[in-house]
Amino acid sequence: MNCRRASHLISALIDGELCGAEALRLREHIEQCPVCRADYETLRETKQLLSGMAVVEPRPGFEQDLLNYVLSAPCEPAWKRAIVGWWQTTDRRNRMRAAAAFAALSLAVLALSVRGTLQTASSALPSYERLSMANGAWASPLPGRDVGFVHETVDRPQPVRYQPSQGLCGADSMPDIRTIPPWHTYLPVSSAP
Amino acid sequence: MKIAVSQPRTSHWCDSDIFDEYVRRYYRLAYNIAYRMSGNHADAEDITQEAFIRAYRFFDRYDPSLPFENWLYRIIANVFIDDVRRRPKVKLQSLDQTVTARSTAGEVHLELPDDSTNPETMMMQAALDEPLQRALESLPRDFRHAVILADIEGLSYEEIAAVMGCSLGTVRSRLHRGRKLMRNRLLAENYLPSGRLGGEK
Repeated sequence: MNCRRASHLISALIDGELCGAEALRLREHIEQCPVCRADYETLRETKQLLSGMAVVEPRPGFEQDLLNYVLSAPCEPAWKRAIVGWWQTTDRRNRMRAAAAFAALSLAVLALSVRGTLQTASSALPSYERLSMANGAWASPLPGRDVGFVHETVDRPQPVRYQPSQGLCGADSMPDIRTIPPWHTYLPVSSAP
Repeated sequence: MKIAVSQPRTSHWCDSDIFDEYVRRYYRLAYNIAYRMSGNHADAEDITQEAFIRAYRFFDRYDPSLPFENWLYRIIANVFIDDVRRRPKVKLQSLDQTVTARSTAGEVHLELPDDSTNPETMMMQAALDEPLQRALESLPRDFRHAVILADIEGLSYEEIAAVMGCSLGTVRSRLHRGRKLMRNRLLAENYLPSGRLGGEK
C-alpha cells in the first residue's frame, strides 16, 4: 500500500469502517511509514477531542418555550402536509431526484407546447395564393430569399387575369402588364439568389 | 365496559400528548447538533424550533418502527440546508459562551469516554471546547455536518449517508477532509498533544 492510498483510508480506519483485510494492510503500512503514522495519530487525537466535547445545555426556560411554540402550531391541510411534508422530511438525494424529474417534466411540456404553437402558427399563415390574392399581384411574397414557410406552397405563379372592373388600362382586350409576376418568382425557391 | 378502539395511523398527528414526550426526550440532542453547527445559542434555538415544528406538522410521515432520532437528524439536516440559503451570512459573537462552559461543567463526565474521567482531562477538555468549536465553524458546512454526526453524535457511515442523503463514498471523503482541516487548524494553534511534542510531520 502506498502513502497516497493510505492517506485516504486513515479516517475510515479510525472510525472502524474498514473491512478486515484492508484494515490489516493499512495498519502494516502505518507501522512502517512515519509520515502516515503521524497522520494517523493526529487524526485520531482530533476525533478523540471532538467526541469529548461537552453536551451544550440550552437556557433553563427553553424546553417550555419550545413546547408552547411547537404545540401551538396550526394544523396544515392534508395536501400541504403531503407535499411540503415530503419535501421537508426527505433526504437531500431524493429531493434532488424529485427536482430533476420535475424539471424534465416541465421541459417536456414546454417543448410540446412550443411545437404545437409553431404548427398552428404555420398552418394559420396565408399560403402563397391567398397572399397574392389579398395583396394583388404586385406584392410578391417570394422576394428571392427562402423565408421558410413559403416553400411549401410554391407553385408556378399564375399571372392574374385582367379584370375589367378594375378598369386601369382603358383598353378592355389588353392584359395589364403589371400583373405579370417578376422573373425570379418563376425560379425554384432553392436556386433563388 | 371497556371498548378497545384501534387507533388509525393519522390519529397521532396533532396529538400533542404523544409529541410532547418526543420533544422532551429529544430536544437536547437537537439543540446540541444545532449549536455545534451554528456556534451560537440564538441560531441553535431557531434551528431546534424549526426542526420540531416540521416534525410536529408532518408527524404522520414518521414511521414509528424506525428510531425517531434518525428521522429528526434528517429533518435537522434539511433545516440547515434550507436555512443557509435564506439567512444572510452573519457571524454572531456569542456573549453567553462562558455561561455555557460553566453550566455544563457538571455534565462533562457523562459524555466522556471511560478512559478520560479524571479531573485533569476534564479540565483540559473544557478548556479545549471553545477552540474546537471555532475550528468546527471554520469548516465548510457539509464537512462540519459530517464531522459532527460522526464524532460528536457517534453515527456510523451508513447512518450519516441516510441522514445527509449521499453515498458512503461521499461520507467517507467529507469526513476525511473535514477532519484533516480540523487537525491542521488544531495543530497550527498547538492544541494537539502530539503536535506539542513536536511529533507532527
